[in-house]
Amino acid sequence: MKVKRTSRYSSILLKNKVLAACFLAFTATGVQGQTLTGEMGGRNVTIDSTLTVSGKDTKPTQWTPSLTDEKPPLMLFQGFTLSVDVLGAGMRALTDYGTLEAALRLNLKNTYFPIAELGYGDCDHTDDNTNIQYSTHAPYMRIGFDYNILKDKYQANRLFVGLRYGISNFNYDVSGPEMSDPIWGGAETFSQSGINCTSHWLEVCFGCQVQIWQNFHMGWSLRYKSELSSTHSDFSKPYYIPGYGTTVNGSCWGGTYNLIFDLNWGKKSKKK
Amino acid sequence: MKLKANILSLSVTLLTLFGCSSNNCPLDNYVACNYHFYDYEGKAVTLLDTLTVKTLLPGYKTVYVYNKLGYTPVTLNHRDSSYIDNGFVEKIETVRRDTVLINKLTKASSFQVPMSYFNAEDTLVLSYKSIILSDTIKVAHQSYPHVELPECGTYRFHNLRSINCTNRYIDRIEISNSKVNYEGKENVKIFFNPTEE
Repeated sequence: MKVKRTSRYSSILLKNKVLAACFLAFTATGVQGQTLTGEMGGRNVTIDSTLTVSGKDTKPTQWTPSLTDEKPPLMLFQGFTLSVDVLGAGMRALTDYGTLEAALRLNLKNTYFPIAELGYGDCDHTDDNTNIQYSTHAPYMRIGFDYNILKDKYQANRLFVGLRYGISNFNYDVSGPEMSDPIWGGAETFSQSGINCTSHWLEVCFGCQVQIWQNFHMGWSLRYKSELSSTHSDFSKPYYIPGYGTTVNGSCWGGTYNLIFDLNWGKKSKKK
Repeated sequence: MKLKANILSLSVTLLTLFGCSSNNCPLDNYVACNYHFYDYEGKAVTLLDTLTVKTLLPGYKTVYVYNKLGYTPVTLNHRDSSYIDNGFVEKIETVRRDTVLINKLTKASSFQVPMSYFNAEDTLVLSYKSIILSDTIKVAHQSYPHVELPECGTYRFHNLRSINCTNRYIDRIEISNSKVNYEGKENVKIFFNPTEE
């Protein structure tokens, strides 16, 4: 009986302490490094900054409310990531054109990712039907940003939407088979070298990246590209724009498959 | 089973997206110089006469001309002894080769003719049904190849430099748009004499 009475007393006492702790914890939200005291049933209750409750004349009891599950706010600067695109290199190996591309991305709060992409586009194309040859080899650049649309910004995996502006200044060569005049007669081959062109375009991106091992991630992006402008010569319009792709239509789809490395340049180490 | 269905539907979607191909080659790809007709005041008109347009080709040829008093001279590329039997006088001449570009065009307000790829100047001879005399138009131009896309082939565009003509039926002539391509824009204005419209 005695044990039972003691248990009942302890249960009521604990219940009152919990209620008081909740109340004091609520009023103490945002105040850190302070010790708050309150009175409960003629007994003093102390709550320190870690939200533990202790009372005199009782067994030491600790209670940690669920509010402590909140993660600390993210710092603005979360480091850089360096990525290389393997899809462009694969395309060059298998088709008439492709790219070598690397990107440097700034990580702000794991949410905003300003990015600069630099690459080198390469195309040597000969049409099977017309036997017209087109070739260009030139660098290109894109700048823009990605936005991590995942709700949980703390995890290493990311899902992006983004926007890019691309520009490339390049020279291309076009040559074709002999042309003959059907009425007046005569024939001549066609070859134009070093036609200069500057192209501008926009890209809307969607992609993801997942953590493979520590700072190494892999990811892909799908891109819808729209050509803004290109300088056209009298002789031709560019068939392939480095970084953009083929200009068969005014817009095109593209993609990347990236190997991504997190770089911790200038990032403060976490203090435990 | 559900996974298989998902894979199948994804494959069909991807095939639909990437299986189709299209090109941007121009459908109307006939490169020609467009001549439009105007009266001497500059008002667009329809020519009621019948018009034939020939162009001179490089090289010369031998022609046989048969003349008889009171008859229109007959010019043939081959000898025809029946004219001699009927009292015509045969005359052998060497003239520039030519070909007909437009034959007996009627009630037209314009005509289109191709331009030479490699010559600096084209000569057009316009002959009419109502008068025996014809007009000659000489148009100087620069030709250059144009590739829209490798799959579309090569076209030959032209820049008109100058144009002049004789003044039998035609009052005057002028270039309105010097770029000759497949866009079909008016390139040359022909102003006809007021009495001959």
